[in-house]
Amino acid sequence: MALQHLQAVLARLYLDSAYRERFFAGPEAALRDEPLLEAERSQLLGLDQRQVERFARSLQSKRREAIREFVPATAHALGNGFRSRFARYAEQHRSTPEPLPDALQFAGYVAGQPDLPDWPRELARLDRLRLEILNAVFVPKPFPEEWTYRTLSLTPWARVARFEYDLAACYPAARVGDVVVRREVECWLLIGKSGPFQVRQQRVNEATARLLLMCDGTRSTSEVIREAGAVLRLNPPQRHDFAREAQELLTGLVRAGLIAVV
Amino acid sequence: MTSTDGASSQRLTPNAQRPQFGVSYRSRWRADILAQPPGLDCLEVIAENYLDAPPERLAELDALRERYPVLPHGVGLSFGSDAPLDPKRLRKTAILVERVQAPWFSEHLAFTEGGGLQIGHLAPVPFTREALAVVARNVRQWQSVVGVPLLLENITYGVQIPGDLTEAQFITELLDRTGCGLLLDLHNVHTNAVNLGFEAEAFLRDLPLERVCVIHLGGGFDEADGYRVDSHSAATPEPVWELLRWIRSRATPAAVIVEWDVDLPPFDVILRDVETARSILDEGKYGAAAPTSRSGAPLPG
Repeated sequence: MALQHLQAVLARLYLDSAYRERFFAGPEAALRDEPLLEAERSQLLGLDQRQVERFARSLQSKRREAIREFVPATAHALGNGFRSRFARYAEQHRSTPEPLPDALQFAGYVAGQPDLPDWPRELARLDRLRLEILNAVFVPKPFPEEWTYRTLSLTPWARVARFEYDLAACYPAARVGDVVVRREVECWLLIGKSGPFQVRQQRVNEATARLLLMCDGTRSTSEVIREAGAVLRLNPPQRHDFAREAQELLTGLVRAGLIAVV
Repeated sequence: MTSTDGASSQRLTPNAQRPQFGVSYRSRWRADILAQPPGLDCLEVIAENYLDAPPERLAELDALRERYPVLPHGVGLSFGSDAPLDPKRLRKTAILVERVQAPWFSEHLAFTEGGGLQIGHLAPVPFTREALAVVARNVRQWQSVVGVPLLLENITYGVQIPGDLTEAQFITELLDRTGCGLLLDLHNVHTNAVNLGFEAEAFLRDLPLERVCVIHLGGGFDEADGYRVDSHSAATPEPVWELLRWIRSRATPAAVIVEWDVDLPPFDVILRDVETARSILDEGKYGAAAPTSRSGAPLPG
């Protein structure tokens, strides 16, 4: 049981910079209330500060670089600020056993930071949506024979989102750190699983985005198409064309596993 | 490699056979590896990638297994933690081991969580009798659930925690008490020797080298102040090749695995390290027969 307490203190020393600073400023005082045997107390008092500091830095570095692999666009957008931003995140958020959930959490953290400009926040939002899709464990059902009157729902493999920048054009370059021409123009994206371990995003117009967002598990195919057409205030010939195109779109997305027929 | 049934009597004693040579699998090299290049005998995979994997990742694993012996290598069971191993994780590990028909499972002599905190990497256990008892207890828990031999790997330790045993004594007693085999990471030995100021060969001499079942090779880098980092981001350096030459007449591993985790090069670069490892061991005139699987049949490939 004493080893358990020793390891708890060691873990805090490795991860909590404030605790580490307090410990090495006054180790006996820092350990006063810890339930340690004399032998364990003595072991902790024998730690080399330089070694502990270096190990702590290496842990954060490993965590940071593991996460960078999953959020490359966010990392590039933050530039030299990535390291310090990550350090702040790491102090507030515990590491996860696997890096992907940690990266998801980090992307969400960056997206919500009010002191950051819009550009990195928007990229973080897109990175997060992509990671949500990658992290989803989902098995699509076989293509149904008749589904006109069954309800439609976006699957865990799909997201529809609006961005303040033309990320359809910018994201590929942003992902690899190339020079990006940022076009500040509203952009709707359909983000979806496109193959094993692959996620793709493509621009859709607002009408298509609204149609897809209606696939929320409460409407049948015919209701989705009818309501989307009504929002667009289409005349009857236009509504007929729209219905045909919408049906084709939805069929393709059902086949791709991005929409489920419930 | 032979093992006996029964958790309490599992002993790993590699026999004098030619080792198989492989790499730690990375998906970026998928196409190269599936093409089965000459000189690649086996693959090590990170177990955690397959415990809760989506169907496509499991399909990839099956495709690898069709072509190679697959050796699962865990990083998160935390055998060194003074806490029981996660039973759910153990069961998933057992399922994985069965899926790939693994001849053994390897993990690290380390702890990765303490006080409810995920450390995020392998932290050294103190080399004390209490820690020895804790690790042995966790190994017994493992042996009661997973039906293949367990190998434990030596790690780099940036922090020396005062203890009553040396690392070599700790490893020796642990293997003796549990019947586990040793996964000897030579770059970790080299890294610790550089950083902590001891002679690598002297350390190796104190280990039960007859219990070495797998050897890991790999590279890292030196920081500005000379501190060595085991980053798995570079080719195997010459001092590690020297250690492999030193050990070839003293140990008979069943497999030699080259690791490269970050800044991945083209596959032929890591394959060169595999070829170098093979030529070094061939120079030492290894024995002839192929290593066997747990069923006693020769490993395919």
